[in-house]
Amino acid sequence: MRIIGQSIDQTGYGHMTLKMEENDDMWHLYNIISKGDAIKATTLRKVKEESKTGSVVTTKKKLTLFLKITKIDYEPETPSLRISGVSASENKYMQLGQHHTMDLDLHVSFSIYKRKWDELHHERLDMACNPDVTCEVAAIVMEPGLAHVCLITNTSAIVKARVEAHIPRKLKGVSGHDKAIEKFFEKLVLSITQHLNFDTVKTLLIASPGFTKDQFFEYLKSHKPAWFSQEKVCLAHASSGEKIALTDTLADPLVKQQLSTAKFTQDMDSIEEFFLVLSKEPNRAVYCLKDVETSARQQAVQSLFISDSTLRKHKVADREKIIGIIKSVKENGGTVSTLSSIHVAGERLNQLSGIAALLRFPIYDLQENEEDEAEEDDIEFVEMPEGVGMDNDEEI
Amino acid sequence: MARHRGIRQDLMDDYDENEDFDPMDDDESSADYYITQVIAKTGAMPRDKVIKALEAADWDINGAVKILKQRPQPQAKSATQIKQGPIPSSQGKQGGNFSQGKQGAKSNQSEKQGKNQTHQLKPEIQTKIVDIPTSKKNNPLPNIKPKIEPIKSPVSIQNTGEKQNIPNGYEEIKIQRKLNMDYPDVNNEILQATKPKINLVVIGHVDAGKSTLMGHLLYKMGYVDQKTIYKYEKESKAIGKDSFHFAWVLDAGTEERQRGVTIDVGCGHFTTNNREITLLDAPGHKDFIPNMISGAAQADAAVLVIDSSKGEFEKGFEGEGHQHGQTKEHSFLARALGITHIIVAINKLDTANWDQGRFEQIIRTLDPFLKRAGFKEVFFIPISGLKGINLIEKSPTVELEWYIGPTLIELIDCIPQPPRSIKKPFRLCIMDAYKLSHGSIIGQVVTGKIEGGTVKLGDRLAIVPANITCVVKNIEINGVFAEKAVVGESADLSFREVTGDFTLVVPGNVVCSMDYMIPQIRKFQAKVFTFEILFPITRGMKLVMFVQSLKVIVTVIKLLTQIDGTTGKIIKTNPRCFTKNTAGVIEAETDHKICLEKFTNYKSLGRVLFRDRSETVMAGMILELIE
Repeated sequence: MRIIGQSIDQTGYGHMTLKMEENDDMWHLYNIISKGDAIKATTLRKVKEESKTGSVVTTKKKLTLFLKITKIDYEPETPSLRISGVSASENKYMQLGQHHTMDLDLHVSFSIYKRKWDELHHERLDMACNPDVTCEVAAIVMEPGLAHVCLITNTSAIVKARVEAHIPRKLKGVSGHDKAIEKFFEKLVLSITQHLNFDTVKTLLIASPGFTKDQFFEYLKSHKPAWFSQEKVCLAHASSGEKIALTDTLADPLVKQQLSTAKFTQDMDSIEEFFLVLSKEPNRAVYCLKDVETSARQQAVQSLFISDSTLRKHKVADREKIIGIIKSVKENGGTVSTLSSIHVAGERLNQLSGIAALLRFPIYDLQENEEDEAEEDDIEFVEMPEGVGMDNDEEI
Repeated sequence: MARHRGIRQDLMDDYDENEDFDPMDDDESSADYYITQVIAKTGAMPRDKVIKALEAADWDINGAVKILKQRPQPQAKSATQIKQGPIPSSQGKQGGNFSQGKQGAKSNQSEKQGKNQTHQLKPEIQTKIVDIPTSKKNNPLPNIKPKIEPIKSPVSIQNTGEKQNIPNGYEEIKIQRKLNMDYPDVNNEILQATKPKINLVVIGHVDAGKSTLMGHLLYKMGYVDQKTIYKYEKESKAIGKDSFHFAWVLDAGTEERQRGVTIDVGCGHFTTNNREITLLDAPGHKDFIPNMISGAAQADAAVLVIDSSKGEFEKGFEGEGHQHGQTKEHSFLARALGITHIIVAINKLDTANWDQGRFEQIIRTLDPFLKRAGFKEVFFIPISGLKGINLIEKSPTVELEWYIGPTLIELIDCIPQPPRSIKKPFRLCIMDAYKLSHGSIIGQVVTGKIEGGTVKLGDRLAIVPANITCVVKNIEINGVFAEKAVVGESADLSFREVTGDFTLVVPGNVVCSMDYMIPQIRKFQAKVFTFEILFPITRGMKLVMFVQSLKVIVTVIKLLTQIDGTTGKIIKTNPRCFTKNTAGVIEAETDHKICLEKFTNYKSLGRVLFRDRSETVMAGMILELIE
């Protein structure tokens, strides 16, 4: 991500002009933008024109629009970031209040207007602008008959494809089994070729229980698909062929050595630590916003874990609360980790409500409440500064 | 890994009693007869509509059929809530409810249960039965349990003569079935008094000698000829796997032979003087425990093979480093899957020169451990699988003279047959499914153990959740063609007239009778108890669940209660997490529909195991099916 320009006053109100450079930046941006913000970007819009003869012609015009954002959709697979909003500017082709949906692309600059740019936003911008060396790892967790092809980056662990086949068991004769395994491997190789780009992928991790990984490695060596190179391959143990087995494989110290993506291994370690403490001293590990808040007030929090989906989900008031908690934890010498919710550790944390903390000392009186679902409330839109959007619409 | 005695033994014992189900009062003169006749003539219909029509027609079957045919086909929805089965131990007779109307039943039920069972399991029917012109009219029906008979399936072959329209029919059946009903007896069969059939699983730590022991046993009994054994000897030597030739009898896979390990369960069968045995040779390697579970889930008894060489027994029992050995894990899994009879074969004692001291030392460790785990019958026997000593005949070896007990085959010969639910509706848990071609004959075959009821040639059965129906073409039991197969037997069924895609049939599916199909659900409640786990069980956790040969990811949606392992009393509601050796009730959900039964209906389909990251974390029993 690159910051091209910014204008923010002391209260935090203002805009930033950004340009996304990598796929990961879409994820970062998804965590920065929220409903109620405004965006100025160039987009294509279908416009109806009535020509002199009276017929209506629809053409696509490239316009620069100001949208007040009402909906944001992020899809990690493609990845794509789609923004829907209501027009905040008047021009020849679009009136105030009309709806429009646009995709934000890489390498195109746009501006985001926010009511308040807070510390979390700036932190995330920092993260986006100074990324660690992008290292993409392709991981295949498999067992006879089932495989998941996953792509792991710093911020995400996404399943690109799931390959399934029915392998007859050895009970009634072996030849059926062996043939079916061959076919399964074939299918898997096709899937890998389709979904993974080996220019960016530095390591291919093949993990399975038993000997399937060795069998597959032999198969790759003998069939030599175009993208295959022996040095990139790393064989590891997995507990099954399901996606959840990835957690276990990535926690394996041997695997950690091989992979250089440091941030998520740290996250994995911290989540494991949390669960260990939860089992040994259950009163020193808390989760749920209410409990964490109570502990933070008592200055008991040693490490705080938040998943970014929690930050995105909560209403503005809650977000302020969370930022308050983060601040107080930091002031008292604690650590705060934000876990990516599309990565393995973050998913685990989300199952527990998305926010958790390890305490310095046990607290006994916590209510064990179910967390309320964050409600959809009315979106409070940011006020646009004067003079914005009145002219300056380019038509290219 | 010392187990808490209370949890393991008592909770398990609860459900191991031979529970007798009261046979239903099946009086032909009762309303049911009329109702079923009407349904047979008109097709699927909620019972209350049928009863109304019968009343209007003064209990004339044809008149009622006419009335019903005039009405539009009713929706299968109903406003009443179905009673949910309470936990079996507290089940009482609720006959009194039936004398009240529908409304009465509704409010009664919600008071009684006190839970929010708002999901609708469709038509509530029995409330109207009381208004029938028989002597039972004004009396409540005291001996009818809350969950009475289901509606006859609209696609059962005796009702409609037309071609079954299965996929739609399934929806109707699903809606009309009550998920948590108790099955009545569907036949009057009894188990034959001839040789009882026993399923035996062989378990133990890796390299204990399981496959060799069983291979040698089969050879000695004459099921494998000399020529084959010589061939195996030659070939195994050629690839450097000396001494594996007996194991090759059961380890037929290429990988298995190359690496010298059993990967998947090997099947064999033999007959002794008093028993017919189906043998399941399980893998010992930690990674293949899912396969071992699918074998042990079918078994009635187990042979635990121990390597008694110096240090090996300890490694198998205690494990190395932070890993525990499979001797322990397999024992716990076998117990969790309902096995109570275990023969411990102490193998390779010849390497210790048949030292009685070593034998006794192993017994001193294992006997209390197995008894504490809950095994009711434990036998110990010294053998050598490779040399074939003490398998069939008494050994002439001088060093073994101190052993005066029975041989292995004699021990196997006295394994008691566990109770078999032969009267229940038919269930076969598919262990494998494949297409066979002998020349021009193409057969679609499933292999598995029959967990309930009987099947004969020509029966129309359903396979769920693949949503297929088929007709039985051939039945093969232990390689011999048969006309009929009963509960307890491992059979290969081949089919014809398959409606639907047979390739959808995978291990984990269930072949069931058309009349009482196995419920397909995603959400259920189970009573669980956790093992010596490191990470606690929390809400939202994803685990791998094993039921027979089915392996599926479940999400723990709720931790409902934590209960005391011995008494069953509730300690805490909505606990935060389950730590080790805790008992409780959870609610869980899968992504796709799976086939489960309540534990009280079919024990083997109601027992579940949960694993996470190569460790078994919980064992459980299905209490209730939700949706």
